[in-house]
Amino acid sequence: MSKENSIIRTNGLSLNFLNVAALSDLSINVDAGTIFGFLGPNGAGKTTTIKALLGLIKPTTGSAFVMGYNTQSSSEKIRASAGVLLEHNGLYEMLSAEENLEYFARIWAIPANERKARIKQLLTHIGLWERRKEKVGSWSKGMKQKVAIMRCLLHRPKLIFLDEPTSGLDPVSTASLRNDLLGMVRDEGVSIFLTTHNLDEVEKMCNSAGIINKGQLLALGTIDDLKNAGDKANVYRISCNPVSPIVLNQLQIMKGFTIAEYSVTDFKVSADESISISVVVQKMIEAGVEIIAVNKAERSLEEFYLSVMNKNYGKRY
Amino acid sequence: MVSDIKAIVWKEWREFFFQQSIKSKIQTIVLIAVIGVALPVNKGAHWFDLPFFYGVAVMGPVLMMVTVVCDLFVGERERHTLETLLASRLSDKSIVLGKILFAVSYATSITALLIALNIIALNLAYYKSSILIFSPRSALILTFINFFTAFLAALIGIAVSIGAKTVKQGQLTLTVSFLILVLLPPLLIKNLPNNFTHVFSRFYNSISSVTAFTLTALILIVVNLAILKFILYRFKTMAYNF
Repeated sequence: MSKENSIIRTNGLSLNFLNVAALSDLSINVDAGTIFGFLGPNGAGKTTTIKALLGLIKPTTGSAFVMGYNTQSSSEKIRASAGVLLEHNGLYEMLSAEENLEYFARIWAIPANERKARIKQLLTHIGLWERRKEKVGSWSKGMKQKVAIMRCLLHRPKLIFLDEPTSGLDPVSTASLRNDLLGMVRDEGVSIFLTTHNLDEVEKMCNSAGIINKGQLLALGTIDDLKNAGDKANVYRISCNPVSPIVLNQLQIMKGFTIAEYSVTDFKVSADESISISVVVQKMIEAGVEIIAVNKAERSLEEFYLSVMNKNYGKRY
Repeated sequence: MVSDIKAIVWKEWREFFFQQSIKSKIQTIVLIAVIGVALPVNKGAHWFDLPFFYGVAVMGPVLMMVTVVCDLFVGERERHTLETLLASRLSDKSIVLGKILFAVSYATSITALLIALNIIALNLAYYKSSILIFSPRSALILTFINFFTAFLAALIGIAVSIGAKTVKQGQLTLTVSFLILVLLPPLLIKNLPNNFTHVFSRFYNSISSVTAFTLTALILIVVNLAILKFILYRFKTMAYNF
């Protein structure tokens, strides 16, 4: 992630709310034309980061630059060039889908002659043009979310902030949105800052990602870097003869390793950094598992995420 | 900025027509029918000469505005639409001014509708040889008072709306505030020391009506600007806590 090509760059960004650190020394770089996934549990500081990057809240210390603009001195310029979908869809429920988009098209000063065509293009794309006159208040969460996403694309922004965009969407809509976003990045060079709980989504879509919790950045890098980071060498797939539920329960409470996936005859084990696989195998044999084969395995982003959380907060997630 | 303000006014009118329940639409129509038709017909052909007419034409729409103006900020915050608006390219000033302009346009539109109904109703009931209507001078005074009162009421309403926690709480605060504003000045004037009222009335009698008009206008402009500045400050500190 080079500084020269950064569309988002923060330097030691910290933010305190009533002596509680909402963000602590956050330093990230997001390259232009990429999708950046920002992961973390509820209340981790993801939405606060978006608000700080839009200049809606001022940091206590540190600085941030978005599209080259300082978030504190040029926030209006950032908001003029960015598309934003926050946690709530922000739709006016008593207005129709067309009126909702019309309002924001006016706000983005899209000329009257282009407005209608752009709204038609976007609503047609999500298959809602025929229903454009209906009040959105009566629609499903997924339909509203689609309109809200189209609203933030109205003015063809260079950078899009999406806060949990697939929340409430069905799998088909999620896949369709994922393809749309990837298409925008590929064809129009749009950059996307995406917050989500969906690790699979990040793995499929994002070029790089950051993990945040309690305002602190715990990990940052490309998806491959993150998956290969730290105790990657300690992820193994172990095949064995069928294991009884009692033995399985014993294995799950053993210290030194985590069972990431399992079936009756197959385990994906992530051993702690200080423990070698032979120790894990020995423990499993002692527990009564008849091991057939042990192979190195690739770690998923979810496994990395859980290991980061376990390491930093000492909990078994 | 002008197009931003126009966009907000456009949305507010649109939402106003669709958001009201049938019950509140009927209430509004009944109120307009009473003030616009029944009241002037009941008072007679001299309705436009009565000071009561000015009071009703100005204060009626202002009081009707209470229910609408309160929703402008706290309502948007309750429905989580304000944060999306703040995250757009709109400046704080455009948002605030757009909302104020909508509230003023609402009150002045209602006044214009009431006066039009007054003229039609009175002429249908009492027309003899000439059309019953007020003088151009009265029209000028009415326009002036109506605009500044509506502006002042909109500012107060929006100041309350920005700080209120819920729409209901805002409406209650605003209704009480308006009642105090309407009832308090006559009470105060009545209870002022005699020599003070004497000096005050002597001063007003000594100046021409144009000077009095200009002076009143200046005072209202200063008061309005002070409240507007306060609103913009409050908006920055409160609206962003979403």
